[in-house]
Amino acid sequence: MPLTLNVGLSRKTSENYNSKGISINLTAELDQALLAKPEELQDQVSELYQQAEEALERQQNPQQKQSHQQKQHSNGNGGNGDGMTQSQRRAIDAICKRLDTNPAEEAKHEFGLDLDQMSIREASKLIDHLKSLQPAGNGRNQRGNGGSR
Amino acid sequence: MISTATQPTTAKNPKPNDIVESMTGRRHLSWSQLYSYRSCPRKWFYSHVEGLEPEFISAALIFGSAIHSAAQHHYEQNLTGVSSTPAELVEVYRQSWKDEQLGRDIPVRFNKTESKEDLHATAEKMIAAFLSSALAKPEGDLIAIEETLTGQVHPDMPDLVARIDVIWQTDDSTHLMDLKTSKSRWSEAKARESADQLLLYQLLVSRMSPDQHLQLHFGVITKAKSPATQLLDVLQDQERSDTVIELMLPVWQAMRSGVDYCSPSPMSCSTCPFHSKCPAYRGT
Repeated sequence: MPLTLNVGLSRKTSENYNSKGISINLTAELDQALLAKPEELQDQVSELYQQAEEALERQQNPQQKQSHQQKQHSNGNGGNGDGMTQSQRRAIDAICKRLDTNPAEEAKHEFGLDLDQMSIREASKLIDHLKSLQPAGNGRNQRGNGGSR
Repeated sequence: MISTATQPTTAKNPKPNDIVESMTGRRHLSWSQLYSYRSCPRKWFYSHVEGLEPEFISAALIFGSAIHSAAQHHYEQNLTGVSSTPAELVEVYRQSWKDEQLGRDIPVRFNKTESKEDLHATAEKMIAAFLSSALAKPEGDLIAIEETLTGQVHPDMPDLVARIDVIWQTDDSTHLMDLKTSKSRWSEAKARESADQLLLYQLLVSRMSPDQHLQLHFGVITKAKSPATQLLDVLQDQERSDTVIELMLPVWQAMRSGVDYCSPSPMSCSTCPFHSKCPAYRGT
């Protein structure tokens, strides 16, 4: 007789006063011999929970095409392989603070994009745009955000 | 070619990240750890497994770190559209030097021929040379400064963590640069010999912009009375990258197996901060 394992997870999020709930239930049949190997059984349970977590994550963020495993192996720039880097985000925040403007609104207004969804290239364009809004002087208003092109 | 097959997790077959965490408290390895282990496994154990406090800190180490901090400040300012002045970078350098020693009661060891004041004077010249060089003005869009990337380079190894000094993009390429301070200019052979680090890092950086060609560089600033700067290209070679990983696998296997023999040599023992602990030191 097989050993049946049921794993259930649910997640509720709210945005703009609207809540959205998603849930998942996974059932797996395991070898009964695992009952005599508690550590291995726990590993199997953990693995199933991890799979359920990944499925929930995908459901919640459908635009995120990478698998959980790929995300783990991705870089440190927010889990999205080509999402803007930490340095770009810090630079956008710093310039916006100087300009007394909102980074998310600038991204939406100028590029029609959510700040958190911007790629590296798009973030570079946003940085160039923001720098063009800065008053000249003090080495500001450079073309490109590195040196000369 | 690197295998990408993954192994199921069981108690008998724990994942490499779990193993390295149980040894060092961190779920990844760095290039410097792998390099350090290769030069002396015992030194790596003292530092990363036993967590011993070093008996001294090399002034060269603090110096290099402080120069890096100054360069980092320059690139970060540049990314926000602000030029930095030499005086500003010297201040960042001095502050970094102070921060390194803050709250630590560990002596700083200088070479026989150098003092703190000498190093500060050299740093001012190096910063001026850096600011007026191509190293300070990458041609393209800066996209990352001191970016920490973590990822798997082989399923049988713990994740690799890489702290990349500078990354920038041109129309068709992503460029990665590691800054080095060096007593003398680097030859092409030296760049080739040191390339393994960048060849490993490229595996992580390539995931940021998978459709772009990746170019690898060393930026060198010499620690001299008249400092020179160099921007050296490293040939991007997938086959060599795979070889580097294959070479690192036995290093990791030895680490996880607890191999911690001493590897005495005049070169590494003279700068090792665990002298009094090491049974091999008396013989060098």
